[in-house]
Amino acid sequence: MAARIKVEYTAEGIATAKEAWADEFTKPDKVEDEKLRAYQEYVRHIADYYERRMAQVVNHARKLGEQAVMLQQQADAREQEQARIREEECNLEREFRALAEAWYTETMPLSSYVDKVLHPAYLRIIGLGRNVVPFIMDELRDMPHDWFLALRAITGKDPVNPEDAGNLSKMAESWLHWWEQEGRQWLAQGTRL
Amino acid sequence: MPSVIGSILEKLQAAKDLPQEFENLLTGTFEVKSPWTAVYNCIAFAAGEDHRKWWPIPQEYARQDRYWPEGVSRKEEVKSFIAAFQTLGYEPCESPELEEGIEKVALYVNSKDVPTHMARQLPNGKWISKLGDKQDITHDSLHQVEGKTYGTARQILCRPRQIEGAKPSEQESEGRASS
Repeated sequence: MAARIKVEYTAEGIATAKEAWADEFTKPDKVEDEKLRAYQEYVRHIADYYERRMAQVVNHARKLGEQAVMLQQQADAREQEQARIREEECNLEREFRALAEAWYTETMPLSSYVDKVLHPAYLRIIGLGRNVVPFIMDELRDMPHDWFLALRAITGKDPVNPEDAGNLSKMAESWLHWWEQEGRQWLAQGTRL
Repeated sequence: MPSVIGSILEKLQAAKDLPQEFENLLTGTFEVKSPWTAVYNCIAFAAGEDHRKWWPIPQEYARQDRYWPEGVSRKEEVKSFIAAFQTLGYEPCESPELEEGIEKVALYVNSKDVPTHMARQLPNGKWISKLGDKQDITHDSLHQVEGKTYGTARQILCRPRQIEGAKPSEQESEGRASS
């Protein structure tokens, strides 16, 4: 390899020449230096990018974790609410059955309409509200009985044909038909259709 | 889960329930003639019906729960019941004794003179009552269903006999359910 000669001038104008090969190794070339800076910049950029991405991933993971905890809490709350509703339904059914039994047995020998529907157990059943309607429908399916005033009071409905006055079988049929056609939806929606 | 009424009827049938509410029932013989049903009541049964309930209800909102003859007072009092049975040809009379060719019904009232029950006389002189939502029974005398539940027999109503003989369910069978 031919030696490269480098000429340098002193302040006095004296020129000296020397082989420049050593500089090839001891001083970085300008281009190489820029490349290196570019590489360094690139590496720094990549590092920053990954650092930012990592921060984003960690942040996202934390949010997902928080969401998972929140969803679990919501599921637990729903389950607790459903358990509470089931318990309330059981309690309601127990209360309805006890009141209905008292009403049936204590008014059974009576013919007076007023004495039947003013019985305290009957009035209390009306007071239990809309959620007893399915239980009353079960009763009507087994034997037509004087549940009609209670049904009208609770639902605000009256599906009975006036011509069927006093005909408990037909009145029960009308109410059971209403229950299948509209009543279940009325109960589920919690609104008066 | 079975209905409440289903459970009650099952228990009562298993126990061969007899009307316990009538303290004078055992002063004569009686016979249970029908199963339990709430479809008709004693007033309808006295009027010869077994498919609906009769009772006067003054309140408009509850009138459809009971049949009552059109144009008859709906006050819960004796004269409303007499008027209702006058639409069927009955008139007040005195004696509860069996009379040839005459059909009779009896109206019971409580201590406040409010109607509580009706019974119908059979051609053999016995009476037949629907006990609220319980069974129909035949009984020898009106006194047998008097007491704390129905009070006393207050008014007899008569008309020329229109129902010839008793319905199959009302005919007497041998023996008696209890005495």
